[in-house]
Amino acid sequence: MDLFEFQGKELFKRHGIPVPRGIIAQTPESARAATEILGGSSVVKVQVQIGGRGKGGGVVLADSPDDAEAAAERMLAEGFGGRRVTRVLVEERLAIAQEFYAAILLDRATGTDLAMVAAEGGVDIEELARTKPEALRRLHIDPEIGIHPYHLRGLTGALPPEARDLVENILAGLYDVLTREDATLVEVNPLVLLQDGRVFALDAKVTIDDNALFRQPELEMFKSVHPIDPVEFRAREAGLQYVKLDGQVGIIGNGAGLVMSTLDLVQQAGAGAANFLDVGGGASADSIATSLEVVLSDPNVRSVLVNIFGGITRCDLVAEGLLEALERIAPAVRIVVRLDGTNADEGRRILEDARHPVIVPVQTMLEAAKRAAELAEGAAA
Amino acid sequence: MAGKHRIVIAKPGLDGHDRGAKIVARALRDAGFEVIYTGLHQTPEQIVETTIQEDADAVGLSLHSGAHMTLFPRVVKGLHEHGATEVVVFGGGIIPKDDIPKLEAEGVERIFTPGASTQDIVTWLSERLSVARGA
Repeated sequence: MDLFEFQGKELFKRHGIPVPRGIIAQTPESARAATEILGGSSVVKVQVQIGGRGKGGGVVLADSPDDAEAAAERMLAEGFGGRRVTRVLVEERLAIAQEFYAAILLDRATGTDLAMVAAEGGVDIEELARTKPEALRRLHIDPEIGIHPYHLRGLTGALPPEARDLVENILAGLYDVLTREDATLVEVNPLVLLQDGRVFALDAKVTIDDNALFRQPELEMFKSVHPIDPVEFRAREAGLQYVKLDGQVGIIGNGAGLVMSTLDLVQQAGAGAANFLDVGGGASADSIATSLEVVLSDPNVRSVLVNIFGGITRCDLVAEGLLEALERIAPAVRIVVRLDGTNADEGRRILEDARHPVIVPVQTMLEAAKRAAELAEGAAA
Repeated sequence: MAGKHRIVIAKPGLDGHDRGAKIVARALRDAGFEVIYTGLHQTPEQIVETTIQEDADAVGLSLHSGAHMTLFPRVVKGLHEHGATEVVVFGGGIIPKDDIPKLEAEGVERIFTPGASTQDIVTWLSERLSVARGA
């Protein structure tokens, strides 16, 4: 789970990392009020989880409460980079002397955490490593050892001496966020040295390990402000693994691997998948019905491909579930069904006997993908 | 913290068993020492260099390969050659009982073998260093 900037900064504050004074605004009026509280000028920052906010007009220096209100109004109305915007962060203006970069992330290849500090902020780190390696310090931190002062001294060695002590404290705080909040990435770009000598985290990018959320109930709450696609929300409620894609063939399969290969085959057949959906093991009539509803709620879907390989799942139950689901919902598109594995013959017989007008039974996966692609194309034309 | 003692924990030689060194490093850190861990596969010369560069008060050597009679004294000798005679050298690992007096004679002040508690190590080192500082 990627956190919004204001959420990341909340975690930073808890771990002693200095961040600018800021107020979250959900309306233009509260952006104005926030700017008044902050002394009449502010920085208005759009809260979206994509980069390039600075260049794309997502960060506005407001010289007056009027400016802030106008900026917030535009951001909330227009969204940013195609995303809906529900919040802006209104922060105090700071007098910046110099910008740096700091990050700690889980490095899966080495099984350690990788810490990086650059003497230049707002830059592409890969690019900096190539063109100006002396400005970048990288260090692997063995989790069994943890972070120690010698690591911190090594990391801050490329920074101006007057900033080093403060950045060392911030790095220790970032490591705390990483380990105690179960983050896999903490990044500050830029980290700034102010003209008065203080050092602040001006931005915050934090990724939390989803698999650790069960032991981070407080972070789970951060989730609630994330704008979730209503269809994805429905699928999540039903315990289905659903990811929306941008093609026209709706996919239902059991097992992530089978679904992935189904996506590939549909692609190979010249069409695009509208989604990834894994109904999981032991698919019941209910879960098939919900899956169909979820897939069909996407208006782009022109045909559906149900691809089931029965292991524990019994194909006859899937077939019955499918027919039961079709009694509840009347889809406007055809459904190609391929069943194989446990009780496949019974499953196929059930579908054939039913002679349901929307069901197109096929034998093999490849055939199913081709058929679904044809139907999608025919329906679109 | 100005009064913090700085300890280098080092792995001389070619064995890769660093669990013990890491546990000692963490225990010392938790006890308020500042710890510098060298990582694996260090030569005695590298360890001497690190100890001097980091201005350490003590260096703890961890070794499980059997090369302690060769490598431990070379660290002591190297420190002395650089005038770092006040650095406390101690060690640990799979060290036969008979070798311990020999190592002590070579200037390795204390050897901790399997079974030593981290508290023993912390207590000994704290006392040894407070004596050294004339507290």
